[in-house]
Amino acid sequence: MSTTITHPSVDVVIIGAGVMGGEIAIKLALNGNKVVALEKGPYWNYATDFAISKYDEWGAQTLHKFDAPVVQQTNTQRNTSTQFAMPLRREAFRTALGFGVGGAAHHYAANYGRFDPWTYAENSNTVSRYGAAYLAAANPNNDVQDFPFTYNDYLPYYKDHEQGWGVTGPNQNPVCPNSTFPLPNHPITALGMAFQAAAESLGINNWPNPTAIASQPYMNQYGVQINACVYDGYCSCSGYPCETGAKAASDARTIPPAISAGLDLRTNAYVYRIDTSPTTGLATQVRYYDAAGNIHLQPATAIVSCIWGFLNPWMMLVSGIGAAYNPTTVTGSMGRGPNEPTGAPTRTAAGTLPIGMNNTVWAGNAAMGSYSTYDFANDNFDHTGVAVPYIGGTRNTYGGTASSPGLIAIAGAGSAANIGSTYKAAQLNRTQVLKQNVSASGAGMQLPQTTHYVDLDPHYVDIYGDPLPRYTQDYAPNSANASNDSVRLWTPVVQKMGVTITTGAAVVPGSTHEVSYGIHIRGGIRIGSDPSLSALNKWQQIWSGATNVFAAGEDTEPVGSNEQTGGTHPAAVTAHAAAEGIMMYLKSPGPLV
Amino acid sequence: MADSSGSTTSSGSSPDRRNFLKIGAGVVGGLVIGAGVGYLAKGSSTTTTTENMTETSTSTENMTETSTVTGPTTTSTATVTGPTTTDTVTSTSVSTLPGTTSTETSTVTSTATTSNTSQIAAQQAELMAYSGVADALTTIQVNEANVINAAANVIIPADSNGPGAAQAGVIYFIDRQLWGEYGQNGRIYSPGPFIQVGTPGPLTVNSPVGPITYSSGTQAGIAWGAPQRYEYGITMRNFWRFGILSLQAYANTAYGGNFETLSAANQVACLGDLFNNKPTTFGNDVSGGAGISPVDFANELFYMVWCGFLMDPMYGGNRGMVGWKLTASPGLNSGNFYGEGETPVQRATATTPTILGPVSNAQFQQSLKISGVLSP
Repeated sequence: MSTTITHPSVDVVIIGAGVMGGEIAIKLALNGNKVVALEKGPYWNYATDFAISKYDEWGAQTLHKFDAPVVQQTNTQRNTSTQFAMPLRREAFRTALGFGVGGAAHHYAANYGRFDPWTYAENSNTVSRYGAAYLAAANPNNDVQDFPFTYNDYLPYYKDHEQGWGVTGPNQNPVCPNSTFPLPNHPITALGMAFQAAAESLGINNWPNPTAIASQPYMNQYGVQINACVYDGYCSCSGYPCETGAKAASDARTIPPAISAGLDLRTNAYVYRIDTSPTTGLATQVRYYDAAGNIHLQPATAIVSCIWGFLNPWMMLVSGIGAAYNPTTVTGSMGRGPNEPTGAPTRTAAGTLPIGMNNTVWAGNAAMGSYSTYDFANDNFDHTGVAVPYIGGTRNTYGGTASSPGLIAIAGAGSAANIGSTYKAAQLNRTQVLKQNVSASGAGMQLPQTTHYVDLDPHYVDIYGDPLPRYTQDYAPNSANASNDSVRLWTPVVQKMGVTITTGAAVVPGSTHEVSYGIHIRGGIRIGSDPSLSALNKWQQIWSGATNVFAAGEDTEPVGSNEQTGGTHPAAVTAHAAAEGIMMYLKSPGPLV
Repeated sequence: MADSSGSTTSSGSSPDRRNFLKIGAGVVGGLVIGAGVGYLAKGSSTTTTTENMTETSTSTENMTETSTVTGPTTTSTATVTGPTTTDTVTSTSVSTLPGTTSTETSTVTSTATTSNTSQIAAQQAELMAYSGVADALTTIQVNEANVINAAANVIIPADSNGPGAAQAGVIYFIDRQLWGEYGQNGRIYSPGPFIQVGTPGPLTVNSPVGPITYSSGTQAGIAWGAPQRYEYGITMRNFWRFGILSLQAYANTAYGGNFETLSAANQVACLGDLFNNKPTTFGNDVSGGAGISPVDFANELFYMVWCGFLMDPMYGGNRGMVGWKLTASPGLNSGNFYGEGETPVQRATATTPTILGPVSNAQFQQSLKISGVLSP
């Protein structure tokens, strides 16, 4: 028999204690606000939960024991609105959502580049340089929107977050103007050096990849002492937490000092509803289950939703907050504009380089050792002459040590032909072959389209009986066209590295359908300048009605980007805008725009 | 500003794994590896395997082998010879499924196809070393084990590249998984409706607001292992149970005998049929309407055999780390466990890194105990 417990009202409730929740918690706590953070997972103990048990490929990478359990909540997905959406039933890389204090940052690769200035005005920059017809041709059903702030507006937040997080990177990277990262780069791998030398000789700009993994012992501005990376190799983006805290997560950066400053953190608290007043439309409280199944009511003046991915728009939709997106009439903004930047179809020209080991060296960390160039990304080259219209391009990074043991490849290898000694022989010394697989390609930019959205599934419910989020998205032509064209741009670089390449078949737009997505979802609860196109204003606030509700996360980003794995970083920056917005709201309640 | 000592930590234990390993590298002689350490308390018999950790070692297993762990390749010189090419796995199982309580001991015999008899003999010796102890199966019944072992033996056969899946003890890996959370759908979203990938449209599905018709059906082309690909209203334990029953029925119908009695060539052909989604009636008669698709069961079987071969020995398979020896996976060895002398950074950045011998989680823990980081 569950009981209902009502707590005293507080200034702010934060839903989720991951990257965004931690960023907002420390700012509000230091501001003297009374803040409760509700986290559905546990408070991990690095010594007992991670130090030994993380060295467990089966448990961590395959069963995802550190990730959100799908038995509690999952989502359904499909490519088009005429399909039945299937639920994600098994734990997989795709379902590796945040769980526990620290959230999804316990298993990200911690690539930590910024969005470049162009990305912040992707829509208007493209229209002004190439024309509206070009953008419409590149991205049918185009729904790309500009950020409501510019790169320079966000610059102070970038610097503050990078200092708090202990980001490594090169100083004065022209892709990220005015960048001064607090920690030096990690060592560069042999492949990274090979790319760097080739790029230099061809006059191609290149920089070591920024990471959110401490390269030295470091103390951030909140007084948190951070350990350096030990380069143990169990660090991939699909399951391995960091036992030393070198890889940045909120429980190793922002949550402990927030607790010192008065944050009330409650774990195993699964928030399932934001209640609103029928008269004012304002949110009054959140409801959550504790581990024993008791229902708790936590009233607050303001509420900020910091849940992973499409769970932010899901929370609003089940709570009746905002106008649900209607893909038929193209109206409403809640659930509108999701896109997912990883795994887009790539045309690959590939070969091998006889140096180092392939990407399973089991040493280093998931983000170290890489050089990247953006010369073929974003709008850093003239698209006027391209054969088929597309915007953005492809970023390519060489030298990262993914440290994946390679079982994932076997998961899909079952076939009649792979029974027996031949396939077994192909695995001989597979993980330590002294060669690097190198490809002259990249994944093209996925862009928001009006045919892509998040809504509530009509067939499936979570463990508490609420509808699952349903995600409708497919690969767009833009990514295929960019990927096809990238071979032309990248081949000279890879050849200069000494790789003899074989070019694969071109990607045919529409021939490849996305089957698993959401890991780096953007959009769905977008920020913007127009209430008809965005769910949130520039202070990450609901435009009208429940104006005391805010949200932060990658799903508030309204663009596609070539910073494919770095969406966390710009999202943490927008979380600073949310924190500032909440402080303004507490002083003077009402719409901030 | 930055503390250059690197000595502070918020986690309560020394964070520098290299220190652990430096100390661990000084260990000479046998470390006790508990195969299936997580399950020993559950009444199973205990398997204790002794392995040497010195650079050049003579093993104490019941075979004569000289192995060199460091260097670009691992070489094994087998001195056991014999004409036989028969692998034998003996297993004892106490079945606890309702209505089928039994205690049986069975022997699975299959014929390896390679001509290298001395290597096979060495592998047999290794088999006896790693599988000779009679482990109890916790969940899988003996008649099921017969099928799984036979399938494992053709999916990853013992051959000139080393021991196969049966010798690696994958049956124990699969048994432990089906006994636990994996077999009980502890991490699988299980509510219906259950609609397979690639179902053509129009497809009408009931909902609380009435039937909804989807003109395009469901997504196609989703591989087994993808999160969508378990559209069955049964536990994984029963998926295996029904799958094996159906495979056995098909083996009898199409190949004239129980799967484990077929020739290796016919076993391969039979599994190949499943991968080609034959027969069409697979699973319908035994799974209470769950209608297991042959290719789904074949993929799960293939996948779990390989997982049992390559996952840490603490899960029951990969005995003697034979899977890691094949793939040259270092396991938890990130640079200096056996005194190789490389730091992880040197290893990650080197143009020609050393190929390392494998280290299991249990060995790693043992090194921490010897170094005092963990209490014994």
